[in-house]
Amino acid sequence: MIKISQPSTLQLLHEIRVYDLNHKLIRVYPKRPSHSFVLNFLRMMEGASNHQGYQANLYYPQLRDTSGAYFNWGTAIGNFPYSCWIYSMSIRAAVTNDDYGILIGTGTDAPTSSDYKLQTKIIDGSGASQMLYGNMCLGNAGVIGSNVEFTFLRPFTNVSGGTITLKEFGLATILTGSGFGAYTLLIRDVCDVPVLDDNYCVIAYSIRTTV
Amino acid sequence: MQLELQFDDKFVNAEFPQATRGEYIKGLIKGISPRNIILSFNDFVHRKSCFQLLYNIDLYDASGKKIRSTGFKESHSFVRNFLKMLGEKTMGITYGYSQSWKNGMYDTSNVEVEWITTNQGAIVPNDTASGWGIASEAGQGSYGIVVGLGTNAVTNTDYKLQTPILNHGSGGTQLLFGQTKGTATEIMGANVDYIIHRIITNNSGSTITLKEMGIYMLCYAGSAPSYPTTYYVCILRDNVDFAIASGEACIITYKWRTTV
Repeated sequence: MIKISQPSTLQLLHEIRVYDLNHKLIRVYPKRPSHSFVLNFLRMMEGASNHQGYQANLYYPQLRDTSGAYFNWGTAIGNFPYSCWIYSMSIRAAVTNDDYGILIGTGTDAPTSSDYKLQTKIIDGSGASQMLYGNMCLGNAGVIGSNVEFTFLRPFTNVSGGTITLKEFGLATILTGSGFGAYTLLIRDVCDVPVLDDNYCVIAYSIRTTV
Repeated sequence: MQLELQFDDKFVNAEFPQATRGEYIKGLIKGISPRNIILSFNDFVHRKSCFQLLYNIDLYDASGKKIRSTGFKESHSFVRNFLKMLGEKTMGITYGYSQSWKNGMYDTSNVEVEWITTNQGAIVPNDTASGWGIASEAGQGSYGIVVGLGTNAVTNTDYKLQTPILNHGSGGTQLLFGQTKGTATEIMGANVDYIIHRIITNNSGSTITLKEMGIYMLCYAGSAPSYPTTYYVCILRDNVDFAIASGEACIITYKWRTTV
């Protein structure tokens, strides 16, 4: 008997497209499963959910930001440190912002659950080994066929004067409270995507649920 | 003649219609002796998804002795509201104070939830701290891990359990609800696990057979301290078939697991 199991109820998928200067699609790395939620992701979900509505968290899970610093995350009422308050978990980074949103890098280490940053992040710019970060674009989650999908993407342009080969990419959020913000890596993937000078690529992640 | 079947990510994911997979395989192997069929699975098939949702139900008798367990099973039941919530919370909304909008997330009364910005920079539904609460207290059957009697198949657009048992008590078709509690998310071997569980006891005097279960979030909208609107939002639902005799208790566990 051949048995094919049903996809997981939640899938993380990614797709990369590379375009030339004239916006001609020159290569597609088709949508495929990602294997790379890191510890921070479930701790973020835990911190956001482990409370009774407007009450303080029962406890505060510890996360690690992209600088390596640890912080606690959850909701608080009263005299709890403001750093615990959840205001936002935004991934909608603006153009040139390479602190959060989808990030790219050249590190080749295999992803691990304890990753808290890209190994060797490419920073925004037009110098050597730099790329231009575009705006994060977020779609609205909706029912698509038999799934529900939430897709977000970001373009990266290479005007460095030479080819840059992406070896890693991921997603970071900014977790904010009152006077508090922590760039926090949630996803890290490895890849092998050369982007020629004057070309650009678009990296898209989709979170898909299926009943 | 020899046939090698390779199942890749396109096959096991939704790009290949699930309903036609069986027929597709039958067509391929028609007329070929089984001894000449080689099955080879590529990397995508061998590896588990990077995210798994699992559940387990343990049943205990009145003396506290475990008498039955489902073992951990894969859940297939995040509904639309889950990504509606996650998507909205990650949008980085920066509207001014008291702006409101809707995004197609429905509460358990089928009311479309209205989001609103607060003067403290948060977006709700939820409190000013803007999380989503599932850690329901003892005696509260309206959110956290919830159970019911409905048998309809789960759909993406489910916004509630079909026939939820929400009343805490010892009367007919009532259950005693313990706290919904999470355990600290940790790296467990090759995985990261976030575990949520709840004890539910049947003192109704007769057997109650759970046919569905899920998780409801408690959300508040508006500004502190009044929070004028309360929403219960269903984020997942499962079909089960689990009988609890009077005097017995069960522990329902959901495990959210990621694997790199």
